[in-house]
Amino acid sequence: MSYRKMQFWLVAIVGMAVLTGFMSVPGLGQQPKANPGAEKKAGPTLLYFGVAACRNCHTNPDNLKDSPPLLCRCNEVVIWEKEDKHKDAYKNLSGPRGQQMAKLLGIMDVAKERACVACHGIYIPPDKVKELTDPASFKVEEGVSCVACHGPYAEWVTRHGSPLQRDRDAWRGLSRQAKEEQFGMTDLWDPAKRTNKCASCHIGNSEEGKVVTHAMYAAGHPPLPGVEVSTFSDAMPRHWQYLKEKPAAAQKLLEYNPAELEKTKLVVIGGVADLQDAMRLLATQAQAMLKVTPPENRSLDLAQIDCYACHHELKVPSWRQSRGYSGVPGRPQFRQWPLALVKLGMRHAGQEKQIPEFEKKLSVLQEAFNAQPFGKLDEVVRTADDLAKWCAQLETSLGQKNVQYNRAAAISLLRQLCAMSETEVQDYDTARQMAWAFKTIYSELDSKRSNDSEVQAKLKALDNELKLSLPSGQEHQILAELPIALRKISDYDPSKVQHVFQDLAKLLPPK
Amino acid sequence: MAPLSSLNRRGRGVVFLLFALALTALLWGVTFRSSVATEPLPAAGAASSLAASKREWQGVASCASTACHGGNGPKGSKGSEYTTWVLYDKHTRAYNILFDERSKIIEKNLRHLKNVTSAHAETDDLCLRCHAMNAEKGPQRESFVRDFGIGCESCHGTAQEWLGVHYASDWKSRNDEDKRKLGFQPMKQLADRAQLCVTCHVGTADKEVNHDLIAAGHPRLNFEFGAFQAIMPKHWREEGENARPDFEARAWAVGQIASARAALELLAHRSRSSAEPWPEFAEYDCFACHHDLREPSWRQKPGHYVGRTPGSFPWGTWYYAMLPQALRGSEDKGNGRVSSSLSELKKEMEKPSPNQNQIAERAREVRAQLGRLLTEEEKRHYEQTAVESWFQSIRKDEQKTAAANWDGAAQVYLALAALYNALGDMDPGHRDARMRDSLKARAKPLEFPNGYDSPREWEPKGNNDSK
Repeated sequence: MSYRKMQFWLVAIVGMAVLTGFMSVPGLGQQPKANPGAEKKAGPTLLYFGVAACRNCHTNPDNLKDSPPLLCRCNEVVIWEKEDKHKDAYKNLSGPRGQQMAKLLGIMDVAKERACVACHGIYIPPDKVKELTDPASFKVEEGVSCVACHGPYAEWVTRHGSPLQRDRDAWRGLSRQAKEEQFGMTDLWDPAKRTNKCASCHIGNSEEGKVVTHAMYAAGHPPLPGVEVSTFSDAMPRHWQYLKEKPAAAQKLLEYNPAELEKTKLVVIGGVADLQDAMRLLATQAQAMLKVTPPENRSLDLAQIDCYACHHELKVPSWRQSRGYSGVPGRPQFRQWPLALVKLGMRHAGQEKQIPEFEKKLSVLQEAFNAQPFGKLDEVVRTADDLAKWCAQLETSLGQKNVQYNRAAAISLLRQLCAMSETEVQDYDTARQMAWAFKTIYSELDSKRSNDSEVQAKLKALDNELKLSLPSGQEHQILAELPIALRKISDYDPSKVQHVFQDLAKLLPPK
Repeated sequence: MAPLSSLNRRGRGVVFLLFALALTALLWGVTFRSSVATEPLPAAGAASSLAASKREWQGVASCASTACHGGNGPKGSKGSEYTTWVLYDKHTRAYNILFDERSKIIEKNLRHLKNVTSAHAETDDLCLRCHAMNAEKGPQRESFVRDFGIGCESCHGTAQEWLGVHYASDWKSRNDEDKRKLGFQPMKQLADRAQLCVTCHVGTADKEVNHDLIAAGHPRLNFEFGAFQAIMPKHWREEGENARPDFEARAWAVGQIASARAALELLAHRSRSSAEPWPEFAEYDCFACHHDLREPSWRQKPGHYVGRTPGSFPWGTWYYAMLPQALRGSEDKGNGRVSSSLSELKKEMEKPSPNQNQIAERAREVRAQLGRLLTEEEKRHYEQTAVESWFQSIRKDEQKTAAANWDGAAQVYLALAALYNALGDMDPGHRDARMRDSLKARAKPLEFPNGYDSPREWEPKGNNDSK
């Protein structure tokens, strides 16, 4: 070979090597640490990114003038940072309430305690920080940040924000399921999955260490309220749009059907997912308790019991005593509010005939709590697990394409909510679920109807009884509103709420 | 035995004499004694009239004649016991209250009835055992009616065997054991009195108000003997030892010990019986759970959850709060042992799922200790200086007892009130308006607001006596 030819090949080889090196260098705003070997493992690679990893794209639409995104507004970080409380969740641990709880519970540092940080931030065991976090971006002080909900996995973060258009186009082409299963991006468009994600903190999740215990409540943790996902999302405020709110081009791409009421769908499916999560928590907590020694410590943690079954002043006359008890008087039941919307879901899925079977399962669980104060643990495990599975199949049915969430369905759901109030006496949180559901579903109907102002007046009456408004955003603080919130609970009179629902029934449009 | 014919005259005479004696004895027995076999002596303070009484109930009307106890004289005067009782005593209402709306709701809730119209508490044995005479449906005279509520024989004992002899001149000279054999319940001794009251007012294995019943609508039983006796319109006059001016102080101490003892017996039963719920919520401080969640909460202040996990149940806040003080007069050994046994019991009861066998054993142990101490306390008398220092000691101790809960604060108040009354009896100069006002000021915050059976606004406070 000639010297010249050798030079050529030398340069070519070195050049290719350099180019390959550059290709693997971090792209625009991304800091992937994934090693090539990662794809060989089953499933995506766990890696926690901080907000910095998302900020460059999701802060300012002007950043992406050249290739404007279609599906999102790309101002999500701005909304989350400026308006959403989730950002301050971790900081609250160092506040006076967090410190009070630490003292009473004998916790050295709440900011390092899994039981606290699992919900109030992102908990990484100290010895795994190096392995599991992205050093360029992860900051635990950021609280409940992006990946907490969207999925802490290297693969999707790299792909969907790739500097190369063709990568991003390929990403868009994937199904939501593929995005989640192969790349780890949580499918938050799915109402059930969204609810499961919210509920993992807002109801609890044993496997993820997200459990508020009764000792924590006694030490000062505000009581966890009932959760209606669409209402809570709006209160965040949500940094995403319903399809209805998106630009026409996005709607076309996502096959938006204007006749489908998205919020209603979320209310119905979310209502079932709430029960699923509540039952899973109950089953896992009871299961864990079965293993506790010595046996004197073996009793279901009281946080799994309906708070206000015990925590009420003894009023005379008592609406509980007038209502009577389905089981033995004075045996507190598990939390009831997750049951509020489930039968609505069953009827909507065409499973009306299976309601008696569901009720039978439910009564077995109730019996477990009647048989023994705080529940017979093994019975609780078995039946709560069973009910969780029931909910899972119901969610799948409700998510099928043939199940419609149209105007007629919405009106039927509203009627059912009013009818519920006639046949049962609801506790505070259950009534609140019903009221939120009603409010949300109604809001998707045509508001130019003639008696809308009367309905709004009734909804205001419900708000007055139940405090439907949440301490939303960063303006309103949970602790600041807690005195009023707790007062509403203690003053709650079920008959007042029942009357309002009866009035609402008369104001509904005809079928 | 040899035939009579074979005996000599002397022998025949002896046999004849023996036969005559036997016949006389038999005749005397038949004529002058009851033909009903006497019952074994009931154990002191025992339980229920359910314990095998086959004696016939005579009924209140039997005692009420003008010539006997219905004299229509002044309240509490001799010969007008029935008059006083029927006009002023709440026990007369005990049966009739079962027909009230609230009783119907309780019955409906407890027995899972569809509605109140089908609820008849007046036929429910559980209710009758405390609210009526002859709940066990033993023999009763034709004139017996239930409408008198908890009448004479409920406390004084079923009268069949002693009715005819209790007005005889020798009755007063008989001792208590002999009287008991006839079914009479002596009540001169404070210990006997208290132990009888507690069979309903604290409860026994058969006469139990547990949390199931309370949740159904029944009021809580928080009995305090000294106070209840003081407000009961007395249809008797205190005599002998009880007429001495330290009566209220003794009544308080005896009542505290007797109540605690009955509560421990009940605990032992609850922990052993498989028919009873466990843990039994009525053993614990009602208001530790039964309060609205408040923000801010005084329970979250430092010092409240000392020594226990936040959110755990405090046990025995009513019956045992003042026991150390009530046992003040006893020898240190007895007092110290009871306190340490009780704190062991408390530790176990405050676990999430207390060991039932251990509880039963410990409860029985402390109960036995208290039995001995009760007998001693009954005999004890106090000088004025002793009662004064007792009073001060309770006030000083107050932060420990009354700091954490309403039960303790209420018990402190009742203790101080009893001792204040005793001091007033011992020396009228002690009826100090300032002290009386400060006691009243102590009582006011303990009252439940209108429409509530719980102390909605109560919070632990510092000592607010003016002295």
